[in-house]
Parts: sequence; C-alpha cells; structure tokens
Amino acid sequence: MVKRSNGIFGEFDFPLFIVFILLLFFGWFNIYSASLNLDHLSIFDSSQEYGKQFIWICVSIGIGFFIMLLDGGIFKTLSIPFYGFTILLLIAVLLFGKKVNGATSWFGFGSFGIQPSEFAKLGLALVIANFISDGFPFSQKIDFSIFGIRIHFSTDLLALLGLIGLPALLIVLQPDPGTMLVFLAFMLVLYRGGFLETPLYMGLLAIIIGVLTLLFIHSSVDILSLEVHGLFFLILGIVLFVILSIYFFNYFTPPRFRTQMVKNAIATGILAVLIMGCTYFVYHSERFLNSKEELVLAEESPDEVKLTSILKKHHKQRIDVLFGHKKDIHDIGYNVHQSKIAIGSGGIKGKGFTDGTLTKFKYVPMQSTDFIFCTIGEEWGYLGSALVVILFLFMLFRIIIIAERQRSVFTRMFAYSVAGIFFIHFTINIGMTIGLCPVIGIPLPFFSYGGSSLMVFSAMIFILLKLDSERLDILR
Amino acid sequence: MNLDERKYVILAIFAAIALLFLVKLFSIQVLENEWKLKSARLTETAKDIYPTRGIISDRNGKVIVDNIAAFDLMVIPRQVKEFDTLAFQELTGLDKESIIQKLNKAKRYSRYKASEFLAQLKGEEYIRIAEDLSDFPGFFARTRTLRKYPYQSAPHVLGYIGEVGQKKINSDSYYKSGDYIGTSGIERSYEKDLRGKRGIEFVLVDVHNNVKGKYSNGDFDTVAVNGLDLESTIDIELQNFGEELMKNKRGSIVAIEPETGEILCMVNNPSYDPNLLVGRVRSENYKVLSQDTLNPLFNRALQAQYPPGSTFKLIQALIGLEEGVLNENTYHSCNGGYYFSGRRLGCHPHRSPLALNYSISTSCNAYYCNVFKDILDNYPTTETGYKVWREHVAKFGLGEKLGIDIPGEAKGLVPQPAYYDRYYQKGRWKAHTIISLSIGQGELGVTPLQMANFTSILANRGWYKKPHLVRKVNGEPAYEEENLILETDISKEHYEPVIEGMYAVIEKGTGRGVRFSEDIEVCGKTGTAENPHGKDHSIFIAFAPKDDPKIAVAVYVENVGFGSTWAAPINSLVIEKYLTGEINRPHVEKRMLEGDLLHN
Repeated sequence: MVKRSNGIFGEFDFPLFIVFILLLFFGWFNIYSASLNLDHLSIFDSSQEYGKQFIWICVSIGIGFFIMLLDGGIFKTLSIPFYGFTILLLIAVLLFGKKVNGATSWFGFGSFGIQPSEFAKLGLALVIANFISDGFPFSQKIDFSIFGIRIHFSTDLLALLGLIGLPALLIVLQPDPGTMLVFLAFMLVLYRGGFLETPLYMGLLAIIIGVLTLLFIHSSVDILSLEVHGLFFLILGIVLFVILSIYFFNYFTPPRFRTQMVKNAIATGILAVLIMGCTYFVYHSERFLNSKEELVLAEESPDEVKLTSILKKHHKQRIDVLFGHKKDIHDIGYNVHQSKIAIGSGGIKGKGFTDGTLTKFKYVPMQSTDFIFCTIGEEWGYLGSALVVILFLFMLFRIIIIAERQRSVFTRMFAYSVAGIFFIHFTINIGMTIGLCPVIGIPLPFFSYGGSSLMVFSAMIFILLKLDSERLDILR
Repeated sequence: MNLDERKYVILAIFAAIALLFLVKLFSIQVLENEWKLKSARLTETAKDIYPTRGIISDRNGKVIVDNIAAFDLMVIPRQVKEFDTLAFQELTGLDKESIIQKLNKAKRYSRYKASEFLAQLKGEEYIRIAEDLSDFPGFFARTRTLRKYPYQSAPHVLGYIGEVGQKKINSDSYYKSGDYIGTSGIERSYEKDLRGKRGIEFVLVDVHNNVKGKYSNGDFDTVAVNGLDLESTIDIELQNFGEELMKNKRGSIVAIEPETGEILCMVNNPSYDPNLLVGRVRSENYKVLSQDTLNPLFNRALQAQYPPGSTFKLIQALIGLEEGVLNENTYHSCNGGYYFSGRRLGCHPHRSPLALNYSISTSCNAYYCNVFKDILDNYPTTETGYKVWREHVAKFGLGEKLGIDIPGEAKGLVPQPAYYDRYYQKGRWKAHTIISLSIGQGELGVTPLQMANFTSILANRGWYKKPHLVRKVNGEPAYEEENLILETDISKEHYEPVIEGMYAVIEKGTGRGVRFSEDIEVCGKTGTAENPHGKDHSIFIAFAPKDDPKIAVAVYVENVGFGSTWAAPINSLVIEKYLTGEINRPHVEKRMLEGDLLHN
C-alpha cells in the first residue's frame, strides 16, 4: 500500500463525475423543452415529465452518495446474488408485468414504473467482472482444428456466453429485441478479458459484409446487355481483396508464417462469401422456403397467402428503408424522416432553447424518450449535438482510462462493461435519429426520459467511481 | 496481440463511431439545406387573409351594395366526438343522411384539416346555431362576408359574385379554387377595384395542423388591402321608382344625365331581387331564374334590340338638315301615306302639306320617306348616298357598342351596304327598296341604352359622353371626363328646329299629357316599333328641361301598342320624379303602377 485515500474523495475521478453531471443536467433541460406544457412552466412541476425526471435525478444522486459510502468490496460480493435477483425480476415481469408498446417489460407502481431489463444490465456487468477476475471452476481448454484452421477456446467462454445468454433470452421473450441488443456490449468485455479475438474480427467482418450485401441486394448492372447482379461484384471484390492482401502481406510476414497467413486470408475470403450468402438467404428466405406455386399465388394476392420466412414483413421493411430500397416517409420511415428534419433544421447554432418548432409542435414521436437527440439537434444546432457526441466520447475514453489504470481485474472488467453498455446505447440511439441505424427503441443515457435507465446508468457510474477511488487500497 | 493493446482496438471503435456521427451531423445540419426547407414546409403555413369587398353607393351616397358578415360552419373530423344527431339535425336543418355524407366528405379531404360543412350561413342563421355549437366539438365557425342589397333592385346593373371557375384560375394566378369573383355587371367589370388585395399571414402549425402562433412575429406577413368603394351614377330612388313602374310589364327604362353621360337608372323587367343570388341559396336560385320563361336574368337595356320606330325620324330630320335636302320650311304632302312604285306606306290622317315642325309633332310617315329618299338621291348612286347616311347614323352611337362599363352590351344593327347587296344584289336596290328605314322600321336594331344615349345627344345638341354606371372609385373620378366626349357630324344649329318639333310633340302632338309642370318644358318623341311576333312595342324618348337638360330618358314597353299609351306616361313620370322629387299626377302614376301587361 503506497498510499491510502483520505475519505471518499481521496482518489475520486472528477473528470468522469463532471462529464456525468453535465450530461445529466443537459439531458434534463432537453426533456423540459421536449415535453414542455405551457400550463406547467416550472421545471420542477412533478405532474410533468421534467418534474418527474428531476425526482429521478435526485434519487439517482442519492443512490450515488449511498454507493460512495459503501465499501467497494461489497459489489464483488453481491454480484452473484444481484445477478440472480435481476434474473428473478425478469422472470417475474414476464408473468406479472405491464404491457407497454407490445412488450411486457414493466412493473408499474402508480404513475411510476420500473424496467427490470435495465437492472439486468448492471447485474450482468457485475457478474461478468466477477467471473473474469476469479475464473471459473472446472475450467478446461478445448483445442482442435478443422481444414487446417486451429480452433481453441476454454469452457470459461461457454460459461460467460451462458451468463449473458440467460437474461438476453428472457428479454427476447418480452419481446424487447432492442434491449437485448445491448448485451452485444459484453462482446467488448470478453474481447478485452482475453476471449474472442477471432470472433470479434469475424463479427466486424460480418457487419461489413452484411451491410454491403444489403446495400447491393437490389442492384444490378447492364454489361453487354447482360444483367449482372450487384452481389456478383461484391464477390469479385472479396476475391480481389484476398489476392491483394496475400500479395501485400508477403513482404511483411516472416517466411515460416506465410503458409498460415495465406490460409487465414483464404479462410477469411470464404467466410465473407458465406456471410454474404447467409445474409442473402435470410433476406430472401421466402424464396427458398416456399414452393413456386405459393410464390406465384402470393404475388397475385399478397394479403391472403402467408409465406414462410425468417424475417417478418416489418423487419424487412425497416431494413429496406434503412438501406434506401424503399422511400417510406409515412409508416416505418416516418419517425426517422421527422427526426432528421428536426435535427437538420437546427443548422449550426440551433433554433434556441424551447424554440424548436418541430419539438414544440410534437412533429417527432417519442421525442422525450427515444428521440430526445432531435431536441438537442434542433434547438442547439450542430454545436449542441457535436458537444453531446464529444462528451460521450470523452466519457467512454475516460472510463477506458480508468479501467486500464486498475490493478483489480474485477474493476477493470466492470469498467469495460459500463463503457460497452454506454457505447451501444450511444451508437444505436443517436444512429437511429440520424438514419444510420434501424429504429431500435433504446434510451440515450442521461438524456432520455425514464427513471429505471437513469438510476441504473447513474449507479454504474458511481460504482465505477467508488471502485476507482479504492484502486490504491486493496487488490481484488 | 498483447491483451493490453486490445484497448486501442476498442478506443478506435469508439472514436470511429463518434467521428462518423460528427461527420453525418455536420452533413445534415450544416451542409444539406433540404432539412431546413422541409422543416419550414412542415411547420410554417401561409394563411390567406381575405379583404372585405368594396361597397357600392349610389350617386347620392346611399349604399346600394353592402357587406354583411356570414359564417361557414367548419368541421375538423378528428376532433368530432359522438354527438346527438337529432339535436344537430334540428340545429342545422339537415337530415341525418346528409350530415353523415358531409362528414364523410370532410374525412376524405383530411382528418386534421378543417373543411366546409355548411357554407355561407347568414348572420341570423348562425346566431341560432352559435349558442349550442359548443356541444359539438370539432365544429366551429369561420367568418366571411356576403353581399347585401338593401334596395333589392338593379340586379342587372350591379351583377353578382360567384365561385371562380377553373378557367379563370388557370389564366389569373391571383385566384384560387374556392375564391369568389364578380361574375356580371359592375361586380365583374370593377372586380379588380372591388376585390382589394389578399393578405398573407405566416403561422406555425403543429403536427395536427392546429395554428400555434405567428411565424417570426409576423415580420413576413402582408396586410390585406380592402377593396375600393365605388360610387355609382345610379340614383337608387329613381331606379326603384322605375322598377315599380315597370312591374308586370316587359321592357326597359334607361335614364342618362346628358351633361355627363352618367346613367341615372337602368330598369329591366322582368327582374329579380339581387339578394336571391347571395350565399348558400345562390346556385339553387340561379337555376330557377335561368329556367324562368320570362327570362328575368336578361338585361334588356343592354341586350334587347328593337327597331327605333318613329323616334328615328328625328335622326332623319337632322341628317336631312345637314345634307341640305331639308330646311325648316320644306313642305311635303301626305295623303294618307307615301306612294311609290305602286305601293303605299300608310300614315294617319292629318293636315297636308306639312313642314318640319308639324311632321315631328304629328309623326308623319310620308314626310320622312321623302326626306330619306332626298338624302340618298342627293348622291350619284344609292349606295354612296346610303354610305353617307349610315355614317351620320353611326355617329349617334347606333349599330356599334357604346362601350358602357359593364359587360354584355349588344351592338344593335344599322345595316352596311353589303347587307343589302346580299339581299338584292349590288346596284339593284334603291331608296324605295329600303324605305322602311326612314321611319325607323325594317332591319334596324337599337338597344334601349342606345336609344337613351341618342336622346341625350339631342338634349346636348350634338355631343355625348360615353354612358357609364360608375363615376368614382375610392372617391376619385373613375374616368377623365374629356376622354368620354364624342360628337356627331351634324351642325349644332340644325338641332334647334328638331328640338322645337320635340317640344311640339309634348305641347300639341302625339305626346300630349306628358307635360307635368308649368315651369319645366319637356321635349320628346313617341315611337312604335313594329313587331312581327306580336303586338307593337311602345317607345318614348324625352329630355327635360328643354334649355338646360338634366335628364334624358328612353322607355320601351314590349307588346303594348302605341308609344303614347304606356311608354310616354312612364317616361314622363320618371322625369317628373327626378326633377321635382315627387309626383303631382297621382292618377297617371296609379294607372301606370297598376297596369298589368304581362298576365292578360
């Protein structure tokens, strides 16, 4: 022990705390603007969303102080019971929950409600950190190779995937697939924890190839009066990329690794084509899963014949709208279109606090929750929206810096979980408001109206601050 | 890769996404203009502000066309809640089916935007509804103005307004579907002055199209400019008196102030109450009126073409004097008519031979056959003679439009030589062929307006101002008086003997009994237009006072016989009323007012 802290502020990380407070209060002001009721002008009026949000802010800060008073060790100790508790809550909500927007994801208490899936994120973050730092009992390494490609992993990975998969499955049953997507955040944690090197790269590859496939899926080019499908060029591109990378890396790879490198490159290429094929299959699954007669019938009377397919009609529609295959500004694309108008009309400086015309006159649906970023974009302009993006990036970087300065693996892994969760929320939420992601209803941390998410996000920050403040004291 | 180095991959992913957002946000917020335009299009709506239409007053400042507030009952289907249809039926006077039909029509138009449920309710109708309207959410009233005619007269002069047609919308960008426009009469020809200028108010609307306030504090709004008020030349009291006189008769009265060309009254009968063509009932009433066999929509004063009859002898006399074939002491004989080529054009018994003055006061046919023949034969060929004659006639404003300031005027007919060439072949017609022109019969066609204008020329001794119905626009003179003056090519001194003849008509000739006052000398001329379809038309023209004429009047009464029986008394009553402001001959007035010549 080189140095002992004096009180709770001894090693307190003020930059993270300040950016947290900034985001919290900027978020509150924007909720005020987004749901302003002219009969209730006070921002503290608890009959309105902004007044309620103020109560949640007070509760969250109260929870924060409480956390700061605790001994840091308790989080590791309580991680497994807390995880278990959230799993029980998730099961309970399926049985006794309130149905809101088609998903049974709420427990209602009067005019307030809590969302167990938000707490599940925290439980999972704690439990993953716990297991990665302590390891699993009965840990074994599995190692084999197929077609010359070596595959090796430990049973720890399977156990971790199981821990993540259980709450994810319960949330899918609600069904709330948007929130489920947040659990992708833990892939980053596993990656940093020493797992999933290849899968992460494969995931990135899958995302890139998937996006490219969906972009070109309806395109075709006329060559010598022959209609060539756009995906043919994608395959051509992959092949070219593999050949070029082999040729290029030849110079940098020591001779003894060259065979492995060529194998890896070719395997990547084959994988890419396979991903493309899978994407194509899933997108056009009704073509493969139904007989020709059924397809013809469906063409004639689309309302009567039900085709077997993997994607539901509205899923496919969202994909089509996102990739520009369909211009639909009334139905699926309506929210995004209105949201882009609100953000785009903000210009550089914005229209001014509570002066956003689209915000004021309710042109954007769900403005105070999922689409709160529109209010920022419209009323504060590019200066405001860029500031929010930069504040979030700063917060993510700060969390990673905090993570990397820990001697405790538990704290580091917990920090990475928090960063991952914030990152996914940030990416999907802002991405959908500016048309870069499909519309998935998850909140923007500290900005979207809602008590459960605010409490959980705040608790994550404070737990991290507490653990970090003790980094020099004890090794966990 | 070392585990510690994996943080760089993660940081790179974070930074890449943030950078992507910063670039995309910069693109839509700063670079792309379309979102700002779309935002403006969504939230800013231009609302038209309709100006009030100009008011029309008569020459004495009495308002003859006024505006009254009217109300459109509007509905926003989205806001309509279930309501008591029975009470609503009672309120609006509609049956259940048409209520449902109108609601569905509104829904088809838009669920969020207001559409007309009942158009143009009059004030009293609306007041009945207004109190209970709050029981029916989604319904509200929109004010607009309707025309009102306090005197219920002069419909053909004033005209009416109707919804603008698609053709007009295409050709004139000012108009939009649903706008109102003057469709006939003064309303039409002074449309641009009366309508004013529409204003635009920019407002902010919410997603349901509810107005939420002014855009940019109204900096871009333009104010509606109200229509200009007109002062008509009509004397509404005289007009109403004329309409009373013409009740149950078919015909027309036109009175002109000779000095100015201002039309004092323009009466048509059969006629209608202009208030019938206002508001909700307009199209229904229009249909009824247009199908009426008496044709009340027909503006006889401008459009009916009758032969001028004996009144035309005055022109013959003037042309004869100018051409030198006639003077005050030229005598012609008349033995029961004019004999030519073995035919006879009859005349009533009177003393013979006779000079100019007596020929006018007794309206001798033979005398004017001689004059006409002398005029034409004064030239080497009949055709050149006729051309000279026709030129003189045309200078009296006959055979051409006078250019009055309301639409629909007929030209009348004074045949060109070619007209007769077609009938008789070139060079095969002589004065005798067309001798009926000399007494104002035959092919001649003259409108009552032209006749009144001709009377005005006589009163002025040789000139006239283009007759018109509006003299002031917004208090400023509507026309430059000098531009209106037109002259005949008859020397001024030739008018005196003819006017003396007209004076004699009243004093001792065919128009005896027209003189209504010791002090006011009236000059006039009877006429009877032969009508191949039935009884002759009764015509009388007159002006007074003789030496300082204030009014010139032409009266046509269809199918009632001689000019002296109906047209002359009616004419004299109009003059008497205008000059003295009262009627001192109640028996004449009573006989004229009660005469029913339509239904016998």
